[in-house]
Order: sequence, then C-alpha cells, then structure tokens
Amino acid sequence: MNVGSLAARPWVVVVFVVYFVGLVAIAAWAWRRTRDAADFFVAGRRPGVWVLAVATMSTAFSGFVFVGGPGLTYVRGTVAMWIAAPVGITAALACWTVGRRLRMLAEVREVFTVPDVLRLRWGRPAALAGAVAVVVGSVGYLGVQLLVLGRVLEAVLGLPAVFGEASFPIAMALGLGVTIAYSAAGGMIAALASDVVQGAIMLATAVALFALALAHTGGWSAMLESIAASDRFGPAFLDPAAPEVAWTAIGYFFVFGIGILGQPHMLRSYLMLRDPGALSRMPAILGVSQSIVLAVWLGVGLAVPALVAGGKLAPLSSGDEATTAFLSGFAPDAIAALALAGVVAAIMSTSDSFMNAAAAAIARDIPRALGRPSRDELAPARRWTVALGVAAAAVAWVREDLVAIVGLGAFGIFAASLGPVLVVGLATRRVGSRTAFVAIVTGLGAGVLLEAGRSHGIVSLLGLPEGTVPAAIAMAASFGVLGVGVAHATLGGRVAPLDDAVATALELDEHSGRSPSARAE
Amino acid sequence: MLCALATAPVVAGWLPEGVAVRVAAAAVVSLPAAALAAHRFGRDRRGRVVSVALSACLAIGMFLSLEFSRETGGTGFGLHALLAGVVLAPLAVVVVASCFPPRGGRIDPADTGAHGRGGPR
Repeated sequence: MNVGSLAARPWVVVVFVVYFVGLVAIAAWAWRRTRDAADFFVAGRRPGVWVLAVATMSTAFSGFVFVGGPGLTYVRGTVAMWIAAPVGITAALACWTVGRRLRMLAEVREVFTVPDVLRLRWGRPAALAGAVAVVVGSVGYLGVQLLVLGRVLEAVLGLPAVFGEASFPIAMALGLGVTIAYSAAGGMIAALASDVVQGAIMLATAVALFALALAHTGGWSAMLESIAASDRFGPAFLDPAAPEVAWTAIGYFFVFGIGILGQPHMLRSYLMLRDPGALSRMPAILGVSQSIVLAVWLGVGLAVPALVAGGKLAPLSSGDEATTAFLSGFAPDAIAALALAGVVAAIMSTSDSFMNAAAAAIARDIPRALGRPSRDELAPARRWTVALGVAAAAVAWVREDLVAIVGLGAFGIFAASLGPVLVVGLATRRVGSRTAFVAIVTGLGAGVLLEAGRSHGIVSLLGLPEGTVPAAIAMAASFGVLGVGVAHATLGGRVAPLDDAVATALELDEHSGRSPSARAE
Repeated sequence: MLCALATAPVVAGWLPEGVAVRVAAAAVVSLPAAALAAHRFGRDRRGRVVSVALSACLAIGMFLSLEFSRETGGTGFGLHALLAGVVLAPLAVVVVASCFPPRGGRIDPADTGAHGRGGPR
C-alpha cells in the first residue's frame, strides 16, 4: 500500500500515537477484569446488544473493505459489489438461524467456541476437524492482516526515513506488539472494548469518505455518467452481472451471503450476548452499521474511476492504490488521518478476534477433542495468543505467497468447512457424526486446494465456467456431502443419538419448534 | 435446490449459458429463505411474512440486476437494481422485523430448559 504524500504528516502521526496509547490503556483496563477462561473467551457473557453489534461489525470488516474492496472495484468493475451486497440479509440470517441456535445451546452447556458446539452436537472428531479449520484459516487470515498492517504503519509513520530497510519489520512488530498486548492481556474483554472504539472510527471514516467522494465527483449521477462515458472503463464497468461476470456475481453472493454462517470470529459474538432475547434486535443494529461502513467501498470504489475518467487523477498502477490515491489527492489532513486510522482499526479489530479464536482452538478445543481437557485454560490461551501472533507474522514474513493463498481465501475456507455443517446440521437431526466430519473435512480440503490452484487455472481444468469462485465450489461440495448424508439417514430412517438437553436447546427434539406451553398441551 | 446449486456450474457446459446462470441464481437467492425456514424462523405468521418478503426482495433484485446488466449495457440500472433490490430493500425488511420480532427470532430461555440468565460458565 503506497500512502505517498500522506506519510508522516503531523495530523496522521498525532492520531496514530493517541490511538495506540488508547489501545494500550484498554489492555491495562481489561487485564484486571479477565479472571477466568469465560472472561477471556466470551467476555464473561456480559456484553449488551449494542456493544456486540458494533464490535461484530468491526470484527467482520477487515482492511479489505477500506482498501481491497475499492481496489477490486477499480480493477474489475461493479461485479466486485456482489461481495458486499449480501449485507442486507446476512445479519438477520446469522442472528435468526445459526446464531440463535448457538446462543440457546449456551444456555444449557458451557459453550465458548464454535468447536464447542460441534463437540456437543456431533462429538470429538467433528470438533477436532472444526478446530483445525479455525487454526488454519485464522493463521492465514492473521498473517495477511499483519502484512498489510506493517505496510500501512511503515508508510504512515514515515519509518523508512529513520530505519531504512529495517522499517518494515519494525512497523510490523509495532502493530503486532500492540495487538498482542491487548489481545493476550484482556482476551475478548479487551477485544470488544477496542472493537467498539475501532467500529466508531470505521463508521465516522466511511461517512466522511462517502461524502467526500460525492463532493469531488459532482454527485452520484455525474459520477456514473463520467465512468460510462470513458474509454478506459466504459458502460460495462457499471454492469454488476454482465454475461462475462455473471458466474462470479452469483459465486460471490453465495460465498459471502451463506458463508457468513461459518465465520467463527463472528459466530462467537452470539455466544457472548448477555440477554439471549436481545438477539432478535441485533440484526437491525448490525445490518445498518455494516451498510454504513460499506458506503466507503461504494463511494471510493466508484469515485476513483470517475476521477481517473475525468482526468483529475492519474491512472493507477495497482487497484490497491485506489483508497490512498483518493486520500492523497482529495482528502484534508484531518480526514486523511481519520481514514488511515480507520484502515488500521479495521485490520486490528479483525486480527484480535482471529488471535482469540485460534488461541481458543489450540488451548481449549483441540485438547478437549483429543479427550485431554486442560484444567486451566486461561494461562495457555494467553501464551498461545502471543505465540500465534508471532508465528503468523513469521510465516507471513518467510512465506508471503503461502500466507496470501490461505489468508485471502480464509473467508471461503471458513465458509466451506463450517458454514454448511452449521446451517444444515443445526436444523435437522438427520446429520450424523460421520457426515458432519466428512462435510467439514471436504470443505476445508477443497477450500485450501482450490484456493491454492486458483493461480494455476484449476477452475478451467475442472471444466467449470470462467469466473467461477473456487470457494463456491468448495461450499457446494460440502453441502453435497450433507445432502447425501441426510438422504441416507432419511431413507434408512435413522437419526443420530443426541443428549436430551442439547436436543432441546437446538430444538432437535420431538417437540421441535413448539413452546413449553404448546408441549404441555 | 441444493442439487441445483451444486450441479449448476457443472451442467453449464450442457445448458445454454443464460439458462445455467438463471438456474444457479434462483438456487442462490432461495438459500437464505431456505435457511430461515429450516431453522423454523417462519413458524408463526409474522415470520413467514418476513421470510417471503426477504426472498421476494432478493429474487427481484438479483434478476433485475442480471437482466438489466445483459440488456441495457451499462446504464447503471443493473447497479441500481443490485443496491435497491439486494441490499436496501432486504435491509429495510430486517430493520422492521427486528423492531417487531417474529417468534422464530426470539429466544426464550425457558424453551431450552435452562434456568437463570447467561447459561453455565
């Protein structure tokens, strides 16, 4: 990411120093409030619906929304918007289906993580497979976030002028150190507190940049007309589902619309909610806040091509420069500083959740899945938070290509490995332990292999239409396994055995969907 | 529906491109409604209305976006259909439904057999 003339401006440096000092203060505050594993993993199940909704929004959106999304739009046109388009339904879908089941299960059993749910529903093999998927996806995602964080901080703070070639590792260590400090010290209490602050910064940034984008392009209609009239972009740029990109559009909607139900860092939010009844109100707060933040993608993603088309901005050499080129050329210092803080906030708020999810998987889920639960999970979780952060940075540093493959495809890997089994398996008793295990492994394996083979043209080799999204195929494969398993159980008339309390909480008992009063009748 | 979804890309080579795309689009837009129904969100009248409204918004938005993008060649109608039909209209339904939650959107701890709030630690 090239921040060009934004580097080391006084406003920017001041905002970043205040921001980092604030995060360290949150770490100190949360350290005193984190007394046991429940505090560390689910914030003691004390947060209310507003805090959780804003924190979930900031966790869900990484730097991709601020940098990658507008860049992808600049390169590929409005088909990229299909990644963001499901935001109208995802909050409701997550809260009212899988999230609701998870929270109900947490009423009757100790549930801190998604693999906990898998263990209670299907036993230890499925939990182990789920925990491995969480670790693989989280470390990859974390590595990519740390790489981007290092690049942003290096440029924003003007470190190359001081440290020369050592500036990038120093910048990455600075970002990693602050993130680890509050994540390891305060677990999810610190993560939630910082996520709320970071969410507020992201909301303010998005509104400011959207308004700025419209102001500099002459308004919405003028912006679109300018793009359509240009030779460089042309009318096809504004067709989000043109024939040549239709498969990509559908694939994006599938992966980002349904795959949201397999994202462990988001699903854990529902386990933390103090009042389970408040989950019914959460979609409104979450959906609206997510939509507001996505305005930055829409605004900058369309403004930059319009400005290039109008000759007010030089053509970009890379799509990733879209946001910073816009900030450099058209944003006042204070807004540029806010925007860069917003980018860093988005990266860090996602990173802390992945650190916690991966630490929980190693310190809690895998030992339990192997039948060797630890008596004290808090201390190992803190140590693993530090270790995972350092390991992800080291792997990212040594094997940037590998981390990029796993990290950039992490959403799809989670979507394929955990999404289908949770959507189908929590809704019917006819998904047995073996089916669940095979579905998770199929989604994970296919997700990683297809993502790794993307650059080698694996989509064409498989005879699939051009533009097919690999993660969509992996998800469909996992759904297919579940479909076969459900059909087999239905034809054989068999259902998997399930603990009564778990079955009641998941509404998978014979009284499914009926209230206690109805049952009494 | 799942079969259609899983096989649509594969049969794309056998079917006319436009037909295969529409089959896949229909399968994809019906998935959210299917998930809500499978999780018994629509077990009361209000829940069914919300599910149908969400599905209708998504279906209309998706197909208008597909059709406008194919036929008008970049006038921005496809983008507007996407934003209005797929993003804003469902979001409005969700906001209203959140204010007046259907039975399937609520959690009553009594339904889980649990006592007290917050579950076991």
